[in-house]
Amino acid sequence: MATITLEDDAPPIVRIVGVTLRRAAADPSLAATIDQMQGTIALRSTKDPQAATITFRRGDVFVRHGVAPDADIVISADLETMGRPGAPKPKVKGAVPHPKLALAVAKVLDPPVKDGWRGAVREMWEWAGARPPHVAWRPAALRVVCTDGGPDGGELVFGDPAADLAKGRFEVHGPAWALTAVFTGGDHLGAALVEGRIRGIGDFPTMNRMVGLLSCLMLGDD
Amino acid sequence: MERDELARWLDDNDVEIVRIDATGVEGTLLGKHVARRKFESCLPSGVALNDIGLAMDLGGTPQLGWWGDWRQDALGDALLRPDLSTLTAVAHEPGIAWCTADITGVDGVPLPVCPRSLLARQQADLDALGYSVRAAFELEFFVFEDRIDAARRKGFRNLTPLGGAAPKQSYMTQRSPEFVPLLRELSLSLERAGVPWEAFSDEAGPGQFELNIAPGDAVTAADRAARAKQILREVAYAHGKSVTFMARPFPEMPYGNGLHVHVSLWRGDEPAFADPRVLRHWVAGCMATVAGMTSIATPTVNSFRRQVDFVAAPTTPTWGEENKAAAVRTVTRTGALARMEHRVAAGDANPYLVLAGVLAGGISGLVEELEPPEPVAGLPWGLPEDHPRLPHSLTTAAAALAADTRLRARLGDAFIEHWTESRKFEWLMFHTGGGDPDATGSTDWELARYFEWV
Repeated sequence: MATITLEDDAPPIVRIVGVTLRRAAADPSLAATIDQMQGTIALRSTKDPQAATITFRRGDVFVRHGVAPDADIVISADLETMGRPGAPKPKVKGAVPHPKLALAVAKVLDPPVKDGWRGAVREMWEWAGARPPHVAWRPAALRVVCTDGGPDGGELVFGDPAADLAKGRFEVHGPAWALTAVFTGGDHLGAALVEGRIRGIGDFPTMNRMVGLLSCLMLGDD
Repeated sequence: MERDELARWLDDNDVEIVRIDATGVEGTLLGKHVARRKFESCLPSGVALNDIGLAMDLGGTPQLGWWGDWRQDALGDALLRPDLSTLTAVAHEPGIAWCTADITGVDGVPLPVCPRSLLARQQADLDALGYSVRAAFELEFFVFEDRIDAARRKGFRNLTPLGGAAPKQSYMTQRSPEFVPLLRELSLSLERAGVPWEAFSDEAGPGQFELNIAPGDAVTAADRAARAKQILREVAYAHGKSVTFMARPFPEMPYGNGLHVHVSLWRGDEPAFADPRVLRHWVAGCMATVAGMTSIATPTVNSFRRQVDFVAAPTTPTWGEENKAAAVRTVTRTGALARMEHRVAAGDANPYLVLAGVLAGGISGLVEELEPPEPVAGLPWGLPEDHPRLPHSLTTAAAALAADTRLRARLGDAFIEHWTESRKFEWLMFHTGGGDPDATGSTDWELARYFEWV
């Protein structure tokens, strides 16, 4: 079983990478991949100073901020848009001398979400319900509507379906990719709402608390 | 002040406009300029402002992610309730008066995140214990030869410190020809605004000065500090200069700005700290809460650039008699005027919250009859790595405050939640907004966000 360790008092980029790697480590196939990985990979933003270095030592993984000078592979990407449809592809330096490592890291930094957006929402709801009592909070009801047509379309409802929209019920509407990103911590709910990638319906207090809840998911807080 | 008396005062001072403001959680002055007729008609409840203004960061971003029940569900109003005892003229702006306010809900009840009301509550708790408090702030700041609009255009870089950029001694009156013109107008403006000042000194950093304000009760002391900061900005502007209270705007220059606060307790006319037991318990309370207090006292990313050994800021949870390198300094040589100085706060801290936190810690010490740790022997800088240190970042300080049951009990859950969440928000904004955690100097992000607003 891989051990993912973060530097003390880690900045957001390190914590987000840590959450992603822990999700990868929970997938049996990717856990086996991590156990085989050896090398140092840096992920740097092309838009700001955010950067993280991941050191793989056959199952022991350490993440810290910055770009290590001895990194085998350096991935440069717009961290804001990475993973969105039409986003520019990351630039990868060092993949030629380290092809296996490059292939493996591409997989573990983009772990599959079982059952797509539905699985992401379901996992988030269960995670929120299992949080320690002093931070436990979930909306009275959460309705998530996928606006894509076809097999991805549809909706899920958790909590009390009779809950009032003005009293603690919250709805999130959006395409499958945006819902998946928000409910796995790959995108910030507040930013996604403000920038129009998803739509939200509900009262202001619940929206605020939802942003807080999903920020905790994103940053790996309890 | 009765209405007739108010009308006479407004007439006598030819007041046409009243500036009503309050210090918000982020430390900025929030308020409105209102016509005299509006000022008179809005009393006693005050003027409205959108309560989102109390949950907005220094960059103007709404602080999403938590909810305080003091807020209205749909961007409702809060009120600025003028305290008429603070009504004064503005020296360099004829026809304008200035009134400090408390921030209340529309029901008139002070909001739990109103810094002035939070401080008043601590003062009332001390009153209930039979003590009154006298407090005084020391303001440290940098003055530059560039007016604020020019400084903005330069991105707050390559500014010219008043008196030159070369390293120098402190307390140098030789610089007086350069700063006395500023001081003359400052003195006039401070006194007219009800801010008696005691001393103005050249400080150690290039362009750095210190203003000592006369003591008063807790709320008055913080009112004076908040006003003095604004008066300094305005007088500097009038003289084609700018001023900043940033904790350490230019780490390549020595020293940063602190906001030290001196406190003494009184029982009637008797100095309570003359009783060593009272002073001991008070210091013990401040020491028991010093880690959590660090969050309130060092509220920004830049605050922690000042928290470095050997540059005049405390870095360890220590106290000592006459020890200016410790977090808490006692001064008992003065006998009846014995006092405690809390030295953790950076220049960018909110004076109301700093004093509220200091009083909350001290009251806890009195009530629980706490005993302090041993005073620090010698210099608490450059100690080995395993020696306890004050929290060193926004996140570690916020975690210490969230875990501090004494400060939570006295300052309230609503304030503690809002404050600690807002510090995490500040941390997130820094890292995701362009701040560089490895920068050795202030980042552009810090200068743009803090130079003129803290």
